[in-house]
This record gives sequence, structure tokens and C-alpha cells, in this order.
Amino acid sequence: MIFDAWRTNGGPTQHPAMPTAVTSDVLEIGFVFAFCILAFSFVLIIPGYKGVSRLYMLLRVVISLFIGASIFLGVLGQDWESAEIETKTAYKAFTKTEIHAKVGMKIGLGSVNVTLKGTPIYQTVGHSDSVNFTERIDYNERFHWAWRQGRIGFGPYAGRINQEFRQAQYRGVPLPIQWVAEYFTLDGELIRWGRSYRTAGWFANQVLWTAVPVWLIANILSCVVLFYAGCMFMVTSVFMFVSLIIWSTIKWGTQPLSIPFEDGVLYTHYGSSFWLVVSGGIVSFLYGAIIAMMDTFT
Amino acid sequence: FNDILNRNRRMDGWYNNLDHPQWGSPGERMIRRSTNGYSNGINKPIEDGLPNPHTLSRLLMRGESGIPSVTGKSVFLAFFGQHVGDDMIDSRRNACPSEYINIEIEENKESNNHILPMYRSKFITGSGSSVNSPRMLVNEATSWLDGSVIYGNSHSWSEHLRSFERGRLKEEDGHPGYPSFNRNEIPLYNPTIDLKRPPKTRNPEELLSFGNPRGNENPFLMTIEIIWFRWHNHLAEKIAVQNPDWSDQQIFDKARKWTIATYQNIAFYEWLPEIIGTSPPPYREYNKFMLPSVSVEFSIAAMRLGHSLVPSGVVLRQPDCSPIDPLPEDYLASAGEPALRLCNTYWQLQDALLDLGIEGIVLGMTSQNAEEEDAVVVDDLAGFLYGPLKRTRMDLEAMTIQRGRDAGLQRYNEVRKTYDLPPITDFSQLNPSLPNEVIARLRNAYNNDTNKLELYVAGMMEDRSNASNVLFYKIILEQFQRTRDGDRLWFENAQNGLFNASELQEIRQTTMRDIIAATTTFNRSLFQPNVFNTAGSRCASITVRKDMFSKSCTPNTGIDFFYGYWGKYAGIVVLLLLFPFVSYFVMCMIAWKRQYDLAKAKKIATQKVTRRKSSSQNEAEIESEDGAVFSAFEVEGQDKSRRVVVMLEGTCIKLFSSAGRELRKICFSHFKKSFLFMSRNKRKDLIVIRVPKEYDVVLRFNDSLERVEAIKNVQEFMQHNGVNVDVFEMDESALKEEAVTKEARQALLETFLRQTFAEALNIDDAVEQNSKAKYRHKTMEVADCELTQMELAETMGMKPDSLFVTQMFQLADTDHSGYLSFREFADLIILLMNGSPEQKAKMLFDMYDVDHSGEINREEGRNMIKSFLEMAGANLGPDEVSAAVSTIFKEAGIGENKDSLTLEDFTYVLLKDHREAFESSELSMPGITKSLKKKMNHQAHHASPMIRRQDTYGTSSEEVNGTEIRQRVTSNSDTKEGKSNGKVFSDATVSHEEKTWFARTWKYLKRNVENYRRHIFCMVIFYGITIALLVERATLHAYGAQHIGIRRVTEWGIIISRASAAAISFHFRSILLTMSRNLIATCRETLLKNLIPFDSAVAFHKQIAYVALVETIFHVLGHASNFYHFCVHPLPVLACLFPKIFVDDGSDLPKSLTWWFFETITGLTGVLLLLTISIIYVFAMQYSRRFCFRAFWITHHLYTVLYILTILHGSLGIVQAPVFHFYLVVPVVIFLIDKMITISRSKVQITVIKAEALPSGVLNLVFKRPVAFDYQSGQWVRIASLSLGTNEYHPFTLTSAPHERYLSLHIRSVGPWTSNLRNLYQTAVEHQGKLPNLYLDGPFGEGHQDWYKYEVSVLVGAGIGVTPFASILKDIVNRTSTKKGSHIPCKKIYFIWVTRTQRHFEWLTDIIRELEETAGGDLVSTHIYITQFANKYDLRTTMLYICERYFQKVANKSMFTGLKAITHFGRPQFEAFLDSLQTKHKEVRTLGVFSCGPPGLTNGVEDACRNLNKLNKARFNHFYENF
Ligand SMILES: Cc1cc2nc3c(=O)[nH]c(=O)nc-3n(C[C@H](O)[C@H](O)[C@H](O)COP(=O)(O)OP(=O)(O)OC[C@H]3O[C@@H](n4cnc5c(N)ncnc54)[C@H](O)[C@@H]3O)c2cc1C
Ligand SMILES: NC(=O)C1=CN([C@@H]2O[C@H](COP(=O)(O)OP(=O)(O)OC[C@H]3O[C@@H](n4cnc5c(N)ncnc54)[C@H](OP(=O)(O)O)[C@@H]3O)[C@@H](O)[C@H]2O)C=CC1
Ligand code: HEM
Ligand code: HEM
Ligand SMILES: [Ca+2]
Ligand SMILES: [Ca+2]
Ligand code: NA
Ligand code: NA
Repeated sequence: MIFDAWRTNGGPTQHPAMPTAVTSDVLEIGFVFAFCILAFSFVLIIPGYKGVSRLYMLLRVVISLFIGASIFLGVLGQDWESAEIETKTAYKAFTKTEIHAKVGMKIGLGSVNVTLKGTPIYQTVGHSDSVNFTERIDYNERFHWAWRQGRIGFGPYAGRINQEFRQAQYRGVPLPIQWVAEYFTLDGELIRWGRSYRTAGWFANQVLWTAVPVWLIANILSCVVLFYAGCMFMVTSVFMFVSLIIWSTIKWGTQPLSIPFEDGVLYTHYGSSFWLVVSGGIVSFLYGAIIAMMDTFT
Repeated sequence: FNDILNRNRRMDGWYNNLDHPQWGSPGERMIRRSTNGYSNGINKPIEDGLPNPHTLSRLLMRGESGIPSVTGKSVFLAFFGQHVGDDMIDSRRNACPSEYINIEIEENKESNNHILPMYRSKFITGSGSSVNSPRMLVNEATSWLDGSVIYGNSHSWSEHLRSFERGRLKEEDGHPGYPSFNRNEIPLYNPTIDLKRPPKTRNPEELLSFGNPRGNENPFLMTIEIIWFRWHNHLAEKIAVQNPDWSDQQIFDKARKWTIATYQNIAFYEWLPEIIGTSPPPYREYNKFMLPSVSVEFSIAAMRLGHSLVPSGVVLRQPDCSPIDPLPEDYLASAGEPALRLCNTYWQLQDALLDLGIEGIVLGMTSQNAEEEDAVVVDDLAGFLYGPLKRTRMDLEAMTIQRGRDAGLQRYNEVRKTYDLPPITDFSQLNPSLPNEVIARLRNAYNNDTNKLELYVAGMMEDRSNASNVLFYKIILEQFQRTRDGDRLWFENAQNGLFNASELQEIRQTTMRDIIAATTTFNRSLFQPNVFNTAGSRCASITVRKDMFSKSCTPNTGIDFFYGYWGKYAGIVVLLLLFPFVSYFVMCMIAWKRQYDLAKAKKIATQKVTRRKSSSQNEAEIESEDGAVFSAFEVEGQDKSRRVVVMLEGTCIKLFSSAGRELRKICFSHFKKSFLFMSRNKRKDLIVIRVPKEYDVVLRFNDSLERVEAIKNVQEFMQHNGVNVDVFEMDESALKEEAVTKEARQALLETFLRQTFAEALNIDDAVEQNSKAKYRHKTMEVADCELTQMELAETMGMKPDSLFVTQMFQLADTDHSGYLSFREFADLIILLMNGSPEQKAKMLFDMYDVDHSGEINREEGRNMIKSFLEMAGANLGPDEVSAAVSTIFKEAGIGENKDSLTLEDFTYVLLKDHREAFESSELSMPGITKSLKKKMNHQAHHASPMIRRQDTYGTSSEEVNGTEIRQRVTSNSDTKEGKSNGKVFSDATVSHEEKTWFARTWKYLKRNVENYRRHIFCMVIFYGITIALLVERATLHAYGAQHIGIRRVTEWGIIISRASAAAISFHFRSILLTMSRNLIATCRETLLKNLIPFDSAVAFHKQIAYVALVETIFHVLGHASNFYHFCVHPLPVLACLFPKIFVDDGSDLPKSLTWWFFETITGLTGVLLLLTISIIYVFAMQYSRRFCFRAFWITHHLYTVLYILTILHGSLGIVQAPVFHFYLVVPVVIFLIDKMITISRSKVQITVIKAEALPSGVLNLVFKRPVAFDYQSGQWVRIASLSLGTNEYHPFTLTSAPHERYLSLHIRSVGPWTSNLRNLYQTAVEHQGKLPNLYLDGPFGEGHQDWYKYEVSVLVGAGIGVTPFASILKDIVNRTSTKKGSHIPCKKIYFIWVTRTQRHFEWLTDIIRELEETAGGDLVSTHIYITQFANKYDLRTTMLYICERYFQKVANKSMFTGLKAITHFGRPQFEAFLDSLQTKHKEVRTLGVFSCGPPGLTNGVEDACRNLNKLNKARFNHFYENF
């Protein structure tokens, strides 16, 4: 009956809950989308140009947008470093059963994303000796350090990630996630991952944001004085490189961040955001150099 | 069996209790069994009326050590107790912000070493802040008995202890059985123990990695920890062997489970009964609702009874029980002694343990009696506990008592009640076995009040003979029971499924002895079954007393953290101070070098000129045999001098500029006497030639030799002319005083002129009265003062040798003295001003009747015309001049035959057509009616000797004549003007200077407020914001941010430095906006201009910069003080204040001063900022911009560095999250966009065609008009000079009109840039060099473009606001005189020029004259209002006007037409003026009024228009622009 649509027995409409882990960043996607739209709109007006200039125009638009996108996605990206392993691991506090899961960690400039994804996603987890559940194991938790270090401990004046970690403990997020996050809350001698990533992230973030206006200026200038535009693109790339250098050098001590699990160790390696900024920086530098040279020699 | 077993016991104790996941976890609050004992019930440590803790400790807790425990407790028991305590309690972190509870050492009061430094403990944030929640300490250990001392308090900590192989804990390489050194650097507590100077933080790698952050505290504790470490690995190995397929994790988990279980069993069922003398009740079941938290009674008092058991040292034993005596070298401070001395082994011996093994220590500890369990504590704890760097030896007992007060422990009796024990009523009840003397001391200390007795003190002295009456035992048992019963994962809890019954049995049977046996190489049989009691030990018991040691505890030392820094501090201060001075020095060097180069260049040029001169001299030599030429500097004033070439020729001394222009000429034909002064000290390079009536010739030579030469020449010259010269020698300073320089002379002349005019016009008595007294001395000088022809010419702005000037001078110089006396000059002026037309005609006639023949012949006529032309700057060929003369002669009715004009002819010609002009162009006299003026004239004539002399002009002094003529002429003019109805009212109002100082100041203020309304508005807003920022930050750091605690360390420093930092941020951001020039240029055309004085952007820029400088100084002083404070506070305090840069690792050592200044980003950038700022400011000084402009411009671009540094400076966020970039971002974006607009404007070099230095420091530049440069009259441009920095643009109004081929500017030198520009072009002109090119930007501004749309327009220009009208007026003339003109409705234009004195804008007179010369003259009627006449009258303009008005009429119409400019003295009356226009131009319905000038004026015009518009007559549309 049409009047009963999505309802049974005249009761209220009911739809099943869809518990899902946040798997991607809306802001990030938004930016990608925005750049795509921009590129698309430029591509649409390209036919208005004649001959070789059509090609040039296309190139300029694409290159510049690529650089801009790489900066924005670098600033906002959650994947400057990442690590993932598949392991057997304890899951929750009240049970003896272990689960099989992928434990992952994605580090952005201001936060770390910790994921736990069962392999398979649905697993039977003991609750007490007699009760078992089939649980959907798919978690994604984000912990921020942007940009407060705070006092030692977990109190109101403690650092942001410490407080978020404590909140996560109260919420009772799965143990592997807690273990990973806890690494960022300890702060003493050389166990200062939270501090290292916060500091590196902070400076990299600042420097990379600075690249944004420079890139904008470069774009404006490229309609005005090509030589300056070239210089500005090179300056843009310098800021991008500096942020990369900062990110990869500011670390307390020398031990790499490694978080051992039963079947493997989470070792971090540079992720997509990092490489995007690297490529954006290289493109920007070359592009700037070429423009500047072309302008001086022609 | 593949399921994990014990992972649910988390390292951090979480999720043990399922309902309260955090129970028992680190960071939880402690609890209190009894009520709190704070003296205010909330948070105040109990102190009132209580004895000094140190005194208590000294009186009650010291005593004979070496009394063995009567119950046979072993030393192992004591240190195991420390181990258990560390497992359950950690309250040693300081409260943050730090709160001092230092303990005074009363007996040391006099000495420097009278304080035991102590801080209050960390407490639960929020507790203790109000009445219902007293302060409660934090426990940073897990409250569970869970081996957190073995594995660490957190997951990640534990993982740093693991090897990840076969489930083992990580062992040191090469030392199996020992934990690794802390190479991966877990945050162990790491105090600075070495007493080296300066002390250094210990390398963390020297410590062993334990779960217990303080595991390295003493070797005995370490030993016990190593036993447990080995036990874990022992179990792991066993499990690994049994389960070869198990993963590391599985093995680790199981080994840990078993380790903890055996540990729990031993601690609870073996150790605890031994300590409290009774067995705890057996385990019943898990009580989920049991709170495991540690109580303060337990942690702060009861559990510390163990202090009493600790011996001074432990004898190390070999398997055969023989002591190791003496101890080997490896035991460092204890080497060579019979036992390890506790006080000398704190935080040491890690290496020795690894090398020599723990077995000897274990055997020693298990076989040695602990100290008796009484109040007495060994010196090693009570007097020689390790301590902070400020005091390396502390008293543990005093500290514990104080800690009890800090924690708000309730008194002994109260706590007893809580635990159901009867309170004691007399001190003797406490412990009957105590000697009376001790009881007496106790009684005395607590004023015989048992209710004051403190928990710890009393607890330590309790009678232990009856365990059931011992409060401490009760407290301990109660705590352990809660810890056990509330633990879901307790090994005996069958429900948790950790162990089955047989396993449980196995655990229960595992004793400490078993564990020791399993983990040491010594035979099991060496240890008694209960290692916590010496009973049954195979080794005979040994008692260790402190007098057994040959070495005593190392003494207390304390360091002053600032020791050795005073020098560095001073050094840094000097370094910072040096920055500005060095920059200043460098700047001066650059400026000096530039001047030197310039002087050199000029000298070369001068030599050329000199050579040229002397060669021309050679030619002249035929006529005059003498003629010395030398070059020198003429000193013109205080610090003004010019390079001149002096030529002694004939009777005259002539001074030429290096370009060969004659500057001065002094002829000695009239004098017979002169003086020569020479300086006799210093460089001996100065001479002064005194010239009567004129200013002295003050010459400076390059050296004394040149001077000798010159003096010789001068004396010869004087001799030759028969002048008697007196030569004086005097000190240079005296000479300078004596010399009348040009400057001094000018000051005199000014007074001279003013007084002349005052007399001539008979005005301004008020002013004169006012200044009479002041000027009495001057007046006398003035009376003596005489004017040279040169000076007259200068005042009139004409060439000294022009016919007009010469004739006028000769005419006025009635006594032919060659100088005009005061009288002579005054007569001339009076005649010019007030004489009848006939008188004036007569004067003119006399002037040009050069040969005094009584007639003007054709030659003289021609000269006359030429002279007028010359004045007007016009040029006519000789034929045209002759034609003009013919016309005049014809006018006079004189044919070709007659060759000369008589006075009558002349007067006729002159007055025939132009009488009305003579009439109307009379000087308007403020407030003086015509008749009154006449009367005054009359009086003046009678009063002055002039009347008599006036006869010499041949006109009767009788007024009748003149009046008659005048009347006739007046009626004449009436009929002429008859067609236009009514006269224009153009009278001025004059405001006399106020009499009183107050009134003057008030008026001055009023005027300034009126004119600077917008400035004031903007300043108030700007500085209002600044003050708001200052106050906000200051109050934040004084009151708001108490919890951060910096203020309590630095007091004023932080308040001042942060407040000023906020203001600096605001100022440095705003300074960018003042330089966003395109934005400003755009905005000044908008309505915003009514609010913001955009033209003052540069002045504002400087002001902001200087205010920011002051703020910076405060900022730096503040932080210099802060850094001092930071250097003298120990690390824990700093770690609390600056969590971003410090971690409290126990080392206590603050960072050094140099670290703060040079090794932090903030400090280093601060220092660099100071350097940058020093350079920027020093090079921005007026002096620098004057003399090394390029250096200024280059260094000024350090502002980019400044901004980058400032961002970096705050980026660390030490004190607060950085904010500067937030301040900066908007201005930076605006500035950058603005810069881009500038860059994007294509820069074309503009060729300068003509550069002319006009009088009064005005430079007239004429330059090419770029193609497609379209502008409207009244608009302005910005120019940059290629030679003065291509980026610095200055705005100037175009004075050329749109139709003209070239562009022109009139630039007045007011500051460095404009002066430099003038110099630049003047030099170029003088040396006939190429004129430097310009960059041009613009045009900007709307200009007043609508004037021609009105039939009648009124243009009002005031002050600098007159500049646009130069162009507009020209434009008007052009438009009306060309064909276009016929289409425009404009019929009449009134131009009103209001100025303080014309001196600053006199070039405009040229333009007006030009205007009046052309057709525009009819169209435009000009009125000039000189408002500051009385004070600052300037002769030139007035003279010119007088002359023009009276004399230019003579010329032919085609050459000079309709000069109508009228000068008024005072401010215009706009309303009356405009009103008269309505009457005059009745037919016109709408009039346009365009004004430009100070706001006061434009407002005045606006008001006038508004008032008139109310009357239903003509409409006035007012447009204005403010300058
Ligand atoms: C719209 C406009 C039109 C002007 N037209 C003329 C003109 O036709 N003839 C003329 O002689 N002067 C004119 N001026 C004033 C002239 O711009 C300044 O006198 C000159 O810039 C002073 O520079 P300085 O370094 O020599 O003097 P400084 O001693 O540095 O400054 C003297 C004064 O000029 C101001 N000033 C300095 N530099 C600048 C700058 N770059 N831009 C604006 N103001 C500045 C300062 O704030 C200060 O009040 C005009 C100013 C404006 C705003
Ligand atoms: N020495 C001083 O006291 C002052 C010097 N200055 C300097 O003078 C320079 C040029 O300033 P400028 O642009 O000429 O401006 P001014 O302030 O000199 O004003 C120009 C003319 O306008 C007149 N005026 C001002 N307000 C009114 C009014 N309400 N009604 C009628 N007339 C009025 C003034 O008369 P009046 O003379 O009667 O005011 C003056 O003659 C600037 O560099 C400024 O710094 C500016 C102000 C004061
Ligand atoms: C040796 C000299 C200086 C010292 C020691 C010093 C020290 C400091 C310190 C400790 C801070 C707090 C930083 C933080 O919170 O992280 C600070 C902030 C600041 N200082 Fe300085 N400073 C010095 C010189 C200067 C100078 C010359 C300037 C002028 C440009 C300046 C401008 C500022 C500003 C604007 C801030 C606030 C930064 C922000 O909040 O982002 N300082 N300074
Ligand atoms: C540290 C403080 C200062 C900062 C950050 C600063 C910043 C700037 C900036 C950004 C410019 C524009 C430069 C350009 O267009 O390339 C400028 C120009 C200028 N500054 Fe400063 N300045 C400071 C102090 C001063 C001081 C103390 C003076 C003089 C007393 C001064 C006088 C000038 C002048 C005359 C100009 C040129 C104006 C023009 O081009 O029209 N500045 N300054
Ligand atoms: Ca005379
Ligand atoms: Ca004659
Ligand atoms: Na514990
Ligand atoms: Na004792």
C-alpha cells in the first residue's frame, strides 16, 4: 500500500542504522572537487583561444591548478605518513578473543587517523566465556594535536591529543586504536612522538599555508608580468620544499616511530600527501623557472 | 589454546572496573578516609601554630641509628616496601603553577643555606578551588598491585621495555639478566647528581630501563627490580620452551600474567603480614564496587613508616656469608668500605650492578636486619637525602611532614577516630616505651595539645607492640584490602578465569625466596624461607651503623642558578645596545662618504669654473689691473654653507656660484672702514669680512694655507680701494657668535619688512604691542638696518640688475647712499600703497626718466617696456617694443615728431584708460573703511617725514587734488561697471593675535582641531585599539592567566612584554596599510576620505613606526627581565610554565641565559629582530634620508626580513599560541595586491625637459607627456626619481593643463626626498648635465571638472590646496580662448586664493599672471587672501602685486590686459562674498563652488553655501576636496 510505504502496521517509518567509519575526509574531497570544477571550467573556455595559444593556455591552467591543488591537499591531507599492517590483535577489554584486522595509521599535519578494519569485517568476538557476538569491525578514529602541547598528563591543561585520547578511553574505543594513539601522548626523553609530529606539523603547516598566497600572487602576476610570475612560482615551490624538509627533519631523537603488534610492526612511511607536495613543488619550480627564463630571453 | 590471557590487564590500569573504566588508572585522584585538615578547609596547608617540620624532624626523628629491628625484619623487607609503594603511589610531580612550601631551617637562619626547597604536589585540577571540593592530590601510578613498576604505567612504555622475542623483556647486550640501559630513552626520572660545576643533566643512557620511573633511585631498589625483571624472563623462557609455536605476544602475556600473580601473592601474603604484624584476611571475592584508589593517609603517612626501616648501608655478602669488605672500586663512593652507603649511592652504581652482579646485595639485604621500626630515621634519609641543585642534601622526614600539610592530612587523633581507634588524650599514651625526654619534646612541640599532633609524626612514634592499636597498620591494611578486593584481575579471583585451581596453588606456593633462587646464581639454600625476616638466615646478622663508614655522606651544596651569568648577561645587553650604535656609525660613514664624493665632484667642477673665471679675468685685466680669484665656502648660517668663487674686482667683492652665477656683490666705494676677523683656534680656516649695513662675508677655506693666501688678497684689495681694515683674531666660537651671517641678516630683514609694512599700512598695533618688548632689541637693529639692491631684488623675486629694480632702488634711495634705510623703504611702500594714482604715475615717471631730464624719451620708453616685459617673464622682439612705445606716444597725442613724454603726458596715458584699474586694485584693508583709511593716510603723511619728501615727486601733498581725481575716476568706473549690478563683496576679516597666552593657545588648538578632525578621529580609534590590546594582554597576564603561572615567576616582565608584543603586532601590521599606496590613492576618492586623512599616510607611517619602537623597547626590557627570571628557576617550574619546550626529567637544571637568547627560535629571532630594527630605524632617520637616501631605501626593504623574523619569533608559541600572523595576514594580502598593481603598471622612463629652481625652494619640473597620458586639470601624479630609488613615489599635483604639450610639476622642498630632488636637478642644471629621468604614475584624483558647466563658478584654493587650480586655471583659459570655448556656458570665474603667506606657493603667481595675460583675464577674477600677514608677511608677492597692478597697466593692451587680482589681508568671508555674487549675477540660477584646502575652510564654504541655499535665491553647488 502506498500509504504504508516504508512503514509496517501503520507504525512510524523505520530505516536501518548505517554505522560506518569515516573513511575519507569531506574537506579534502571538497577541495579536489573544487579544483576539478575549476579545471573543467577552464577547459570549457579553452576553445575560445586560437592555435598554439590554446595549447599554452591549457597547459598553464592545468599546471597552475595542479600546483594549487597539491598545496591545498598538502595542507589538509591526512596522509603525510602512513603505516598499515595486518595482524592478530586484542580487541576489547572484557574478552579473551583476539581478532584479525588491519591496523592503520595515517598522519596528517595536525592529526593522526587510526583505523582498525577487521579481516573479515564481521568477526565473532567473545564477550564472556559463553556469549559471542558477531561484530562489525571497522573503525576510524582521529586524534588531533593541532596545535597545543599542554601540560603533562591528561587533565584540562594537557595537550589536545592527550585529552582526546582520554576521551577515547572513556568511550572505550578498541584497544589497538588506543595503543596507537597512546604513543602520541607520552612525552619524555625520546618518546615524544606527539611533540615531534605536532611541532613538525605546525611549522610545515605554517610554511605551506604561506605558499597559498604566493601561489595566488603568482597566478595573478602571470596575467601581468611573466617574469615575476615565474619568480613567484619558484618561491611557491621553495615554501613547499621547506615544509617538506621541516616535516621530515623535526623529530626528537632518532628512533623511528614503530608500534609493535603481534604479527608485525607499524612502521611509518611517507604517504600520498607528502608525495603530492613533492611533485607539486617540483612542477612549480620547473614551471616558474621556465616562465622566468622565457620572459627574460624573449 | 590460542587465546590471549592477560592482555585485559592493561598497562595503564584502565578497564579493570567495567563500570568505572578509569578506576585505578594513573592520573586518578587519591581519596581521603578522614576529613581534610587544610587550615581553610579547602587548600591551605596547615601551618598556623604547628612546629617547623625541620625542627620536628631534628628533635624527634634523629637518634642513634644501627638499632636492629627487634622483630627481625630484613633490609629486603624495607626495599621491597619501596618497590610496592612505587607500584601503587606516585605523587611526586609538582603542582603547576608551582607553589612553594619551602621549609625553613631554623638553626641556619643566618646563613645562606637556610631553606629546604619544596613545591606542593600535583593535585586534581578543579579541586581545592571552592568550599565543597578540597584539594586532592593526583596519583600517577596505577593503584592496582599490578607490577606497573616492572612493566611501566602505559602500553607504549612497556613496549619500550620489551625485546619482542620469545616474550622477553629487553636485556642489555652482553649483560644477560639485566635490563638495557635507557637507550631508547623512555622518560625516566633523571636528576642531576654530579656535583661538577657547572652541573650537567645526566645522559639518560646511564640509567637502566625499568617500569618504575624512579627505579634507579638506589642500588637496593634496583636489585629488587632486576629480580622481577629476571623472573619475567625466566617464566617467559619456560613458557616458550613449553609452547614452541607461541608468538612473542602470547608468551609475553602469559609470562606477565604469572609474574604479576606471583608478585601479588608475595606482596600481599608474604610481605604485608611481615610489615603490619598480622595476616590480612583471606581473599573472599571480587568486589566490583570497591574503589581501589590510594588514600592520602596511606600514601602520605602510613606507607612511609618504611623510612624507619631503612639502614645507612647494606653489607654485601659472598655465598659463604662473608662480607665483601672492603668493597671494590666499582662501587665508587662506597669503595673501600664495608658496606654500600645509601647516601652515596643515590642514582648511581648501574654499571657496578651489571659488572658485579646483584647476588651479593640480595644476600646482604635478606640477611641484614632492618633498622628498628621506630621514629628514628637514619641520616642518609633524614639529613642526606639527595635533593635539587639548589640544595643537594635534603631531610626526608621534614619533607614528609610538610607533604602531609600540603595534602591536608587530618590530625592523628581525627584519623584514629576514623579508623575506630580511641584518640589519645595525653602524649604519654602515644608510646609508653618512648623515653620521657622524647615525649617532653613532642609535648612541647605541639603545645601539649594532642589534637594538634600530626598523623605522620605520631604514626612514626606509635607503640607497635600491640598491632591492633597501631593506626598506621590499620591504614595500610585497609588500603591493601581495597586494592585487592576491587581488582577484577586479582590472581585469586576465580571469575576472571586467569588461573585454574592448580595454577593458583602453584602461585600461592611461590615465595620470594623461590623467585630469588630462580633469578640469582646463589644457591636457594643460602636464603631463609621468609626473606623478609632475618630469622632463619644462614648468615649471621650484621648491623650496619653509620660510624662504621670512614667516608661520610658528601656534604650539602647548593648552586646559584645564575652563578657565572652576570658577565654574560651584561655582554648580551651590551651586544643589543651595540646594534643601534653600530648601525648609526655605519650610516654616518655612508653619509659622510657620499658627501665627500659629492664635495670632490663639486670641487673639480669649481676648479673648472675658477679657471674659466680667471681666464675671463685675464681679458678684463686690461681695464683693472687687480682681480684676485679664489674659492671658498660662504657660511650662510648655523649649518648652511655654499661653495663660492670669490672675485676681488675693482671696488667690489663678488661671489659667484660654482656655475658662474653671481650670488653677491659688495662694493666698497662708499666705505672707508672695514673689519677683518680671523679664527685663531681649531682649523684656522675661517675669516669674516665685515661689511657695513650688509651681512658679513663669512668664508671658510679648505685649510689655513688657502686662508693666508686669501687674506693677503683681501688686504691688497682693501688697500687698493683705500679702505682702512682692522684685523682681529678671535676664537672660532666667538667668531661665529660675532659674525652676521645671511641667516642672521634674514631674520633681521624679516622684522625690518614687517615693521615697515606695519608702519606703512598703519595696522596691527596689537601685534606690535605684543611683540614690542620682545623685539625692542631687534627694533633698534632694524632702525639701523639698510636694504641692499640685491636684497630688494630678492624680496621682489627679480633679478638684481633688472632696470625696474635698479630704477626703483635709485628712486627710493633718496640720499643716494647705495642702501635703502628703513625710512626710505617705508616711504616707498606707503606711496605704493596709499598714494593717489597721480603720485604713482609720477613715481613711475621718475623711475624711468633715467637721465632726470624731466621727460621720457623713446629710448627710455623702450627700456621701460622692456623692463615690464622682463618682470612678466615675457619676451618681445625690438620691433614690437618700438611699436609699443609708438602706441604709447600716440596715445599721449604725441606724433612721430616729438620724442619725449612729459609727466603730464605720461600721467594722461597712464590714467586715461586704467584709472579704474588703479582704483579697484587698491589693497583692501581689513576693518578699515575708505574714509577712515583716508584719514589714516592723512595722519600717516603728517606723521612721517615722507610728506615733505613727497614734494620731490612733484605732486602736491594737498589731498584735495588727489581726492578730486580719485572721485572723478570712481564715478567713471561706476558707469563702466554699471552694466553689472552691484559690486562683489570681497572684504576680509582679520583676526588679531590674542592677547593672553591662554587665548592664543586656545585659538591655536581650536584651529588645529578644526583642521585635523579626521586625524584626531583616526588617531583616537587607532590608539584606542592599541590601548585595548595592551590592557587586554596586561590584564590577562596579570589576572586571567593565573593558572599558567608565568606572572608569579616574572611579575611585571611578562605583563609588559606581552602587552607590548600585542601592540607591536598591531602596529607592524598597520604600517603595511599605510604603504598600500594604490589602495590609498583609490580610497581618497571615496567617501572614506571624510573619515580618514589618506594624504597623511606617510606621516602616519612614521608615527606608527616610532610608537612601535617605544613598544619594542618595552618588550625587550620586559623579556630581558623574564629571561633572567627563567634562568634562576629550576626545571620543574619551567616545565610547568612552558610545556612546549621543557619536560621535567628530574634534572632540575634550568636552561642557561645564552640558551634563551641564542638557542631558542624566539630568542635568536628576537636578537636578529633587534638588529634588523636598528638598521631600519637608523637608516630611516631624517639625516640618513637626507644624505644617503639610497642606503635608506635599500635598508628599508629589510621590512620583509622583519616580518619573516617576527613570524618565526612567535612561531614556537612559548608563552601563548602565536598570533602575529593573524594580525598580519590581511594587511599583507592587501599590500601584496597593491604591490602587484604597482608592478603591473608598465614603467616608462620619462625624460625631463626642463628643471628650474624657483625661489623659496620650489622646483619646477617640465617633462615629456607619455603617449596616451590623458588627464584632467586638477589631477595629480606620483613620480619616482631614477636617481633616488625607483620605488619611492611621491604625489604631486600637475600644474600643466591638459592641452599643453608637456607636463609640469611644482615641487616644494620640505623634506629629504624633495630636497634631494631639488639638489639633484640643480646640480644637473649647473653642470649642464643630463637631467635625470623620472618614473611617472597616475594620473589620480577626480579633479574639479565641472567648473565649466556653470555660468558662474567660484574656485577656492587654500594652502597647498591651491595646487590643482594652477592647472585648472590654465585649462579654463585654454578652453575659453579656443573654439571649444564658445560651447561652454561658463561666463565668469572667481578664483579665491587663501594662503598663510604666498611664499610657499608663489610660483602660482606666475601662473595667474600668465592667465591674466591671456584672454582668461576677463573671465577670471582673482582674489588673494593672505591670512598671516601680521606675522609672516612676505614682501615679494605683495611687491609684485603692487607693482603689477600699478605698472603693468602702462603697457599695450595686446600685451597686458585686465590684471584684476586683488590682495586682501585676512580670511575671506565666504557668505558675504557668495551673497554678493547672487546680486551681481542676478540672472544666474545655479553657481558652482569648488573648494580645496584644509577641512576648516571647505567646511566654512559648505556652511556658507548651505545658508545661502536656504534663501530662495540662486543655488550654490559646492564641491570640495581636502588637503
Ligand atoms: C595629493 C597630493 C598632492 C600634492 N601635491 C603637491 C604639489 O603639487 N607640490 C608639492 O610641493 N607638494 C605636493 N604634495 C606634498 C608632497 O607629496 C610632499 O611634500 C612630499 O612627498 C614630501 O616628501 P619628503 O620626503 O621630501 O618630505 P618628508 O619630510 O618625508 O615629509 C613631509 C610631509 O610630506 C608627507 N609625505 C612624505 N612622503 C610622502 C609620500 N610619498 N606621499 C605622500 N606624502 C608624503 C609626509 O607625511 C609629511 O607630512 C602633495 C601631496 C599630496 C598628498
Ligand atoms: N605653522 C602652523 O601653525 C601650521 C603649519 N601647517 C603646515 O603648513 C603646511 C601647509 O598647510 P596648508 O595646506 O597650507 O594649510 P593651512 O593650515 O596653512 O591653511 C591654508 C589657508 O587656509 C586658511 N584657512 C584655514 N582654515 C580656514 C577656515 N576655516 N576658513 C577660512 N580660511 C581658513 C588658513 O588661514 P589661517 O592662516 O588664518 O589659518 C590658511 O591661510 C603644512 O605642511 C602644515 O604642516 C599647518 C597648520 C599649522
Ligand atoms: C632580544 C630581544 C627579544 C626577546 C628576548 C624577545 C622575546 C620574546 C618572547 C619570549 C616572546 C613570546 C613568544 C611566544 O609566546 O612564543 C616574544 C613575542 C613577541 N615579540 Fe619578542 N623578543 C625580542 C625582540 C623583539 C623585537 C625586536 C620585536 C619587534 C619586532 C619583537 C616582537 C614580538 C612580537 C610581535 C611577539 C608576539 C609574537 C606572536 O604572538 O606571534 N620581539 N618575544
Ligand atoms: C620597522 C618599522 C618600519 C616598517 C616595517 C616599515 C615598512 C615600510 C614599508 C613596507 C614601506 C614600503 C616600501 C616599498 O614600497 O617597497 C615603507 C616605506 C617608507 N617608510 Fe617605512 N617602515 C618602518 C619604519 C619607518 C621609519 C622609522 C620611517 C621614517 C621615519 C619610515 C619611512 C618610510 C618612508 C619615507 C617610506 C617611503 C614612502 C613612499 O614610498 O612613499 N619607515 N616602510
Ligand atoms: Ca639711502
Ligand atoms: Ca630723461
Ligand atoms: Na601499580
Ligand atoms: Na628506624
